Amino acid sequence: MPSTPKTPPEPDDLDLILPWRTTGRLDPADSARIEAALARDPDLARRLAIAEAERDETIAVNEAIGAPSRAARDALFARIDADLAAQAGRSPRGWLARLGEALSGLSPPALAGLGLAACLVILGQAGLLAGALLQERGGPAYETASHGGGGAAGAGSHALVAFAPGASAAQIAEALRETGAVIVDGPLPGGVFRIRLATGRLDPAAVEAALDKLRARPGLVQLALPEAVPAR
Amino acid sequence: MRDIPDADLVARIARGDRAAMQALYARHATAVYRFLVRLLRDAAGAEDLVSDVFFDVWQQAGRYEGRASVTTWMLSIARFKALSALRRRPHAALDPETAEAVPDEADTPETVLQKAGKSEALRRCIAALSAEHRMVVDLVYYHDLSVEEVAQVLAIPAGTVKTRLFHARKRLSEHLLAAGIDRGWP
Repeated sequence: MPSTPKTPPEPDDLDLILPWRTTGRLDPADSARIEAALARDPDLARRLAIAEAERDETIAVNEAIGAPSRAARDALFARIDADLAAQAGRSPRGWLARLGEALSGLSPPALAGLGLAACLVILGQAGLLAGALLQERGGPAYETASHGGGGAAGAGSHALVAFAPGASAAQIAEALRETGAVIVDGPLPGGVFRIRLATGRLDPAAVEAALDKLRARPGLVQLALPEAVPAR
Repeated sequence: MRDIPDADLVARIARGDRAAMQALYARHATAVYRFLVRLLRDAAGAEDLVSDVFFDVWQQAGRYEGRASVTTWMLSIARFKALSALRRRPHAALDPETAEAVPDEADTPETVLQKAGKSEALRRCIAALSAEHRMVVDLVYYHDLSVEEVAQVLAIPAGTVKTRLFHARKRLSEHLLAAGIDRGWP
């Protein structure tokens, strides 16, 4: 009797698609085939239970991994803001054109409402300016307009940074990590981010040294400036 | 943004809508990250790649034609980036496709499963599969992709998807058997 070459057994066609039955992702024809086979073959139900256990434990393995950190998200949106700022710079139509376009799409009642809101804002600003003038006469103290008197959020040494559009998230995250800096605010107009270089007050030379580390990385930042220290 | 379908979010992103990007990130970042961690076995590297994947989505949203689901599209980008990262690893002198097929012996089932329960044993065996097998198992069981969607992510024919998953499951059975658990299949 001639010997026949030994080949591994072909997998059962139903076993090939059974895993998708556990996730409900079979197409209707395969689904009907599986249901008919399940009705007549008790062993297929046992094999289905094996696949269901695999599904459950695969989900458990994945869910044990956790989620990406806030820093990864910040790095991504820093790149996106730098990209948006670069696009705005390249665009022949400035923000005024886009504003005009947006306004032209509004209905007359909406425009009237917008006008009223603008008047209220102007009146509010006038009141604030008058208040500020009166306060100034009362004493010599003043603060920067942007960051107030430096509470918990303002403590430390800060800088303003605009990342280059081509900078990768990994580059940004690594540079911030190595400099010991964290993003604390932004994006500000122009895609600029406020970063904290240290929780304590650094002398200007140390701030420049930290910023030089960022500037020295090719293609990372477009702009890196120390934030003005509020006068006391 | 919560009820907006993925494809509509991508259309908004193509018009430079940052809020749509935030919504898409909130919806999918964890799944993409987990896919990358499982593939690279490196949480820090996976975090960097998640940002790269979503930055690609930001830049290429205008080219998304809706032929594949947004999940499938993003996981395809993630797979491509992960394989590129594996190629750049200094110790990965092997062809990445070959390296992928090499099981990780660090978590040898025989040594770790003696005291584990059946569920724990199964989890450890799933974690010990080769990268190629981990990918197909995750895409089907965790990411809930259909045969055709897995085929799109892995860039292989649908028939190959079915046989690859079959062999991954067979390998799982072998790992379990080595640990003294016979599940009577295949």
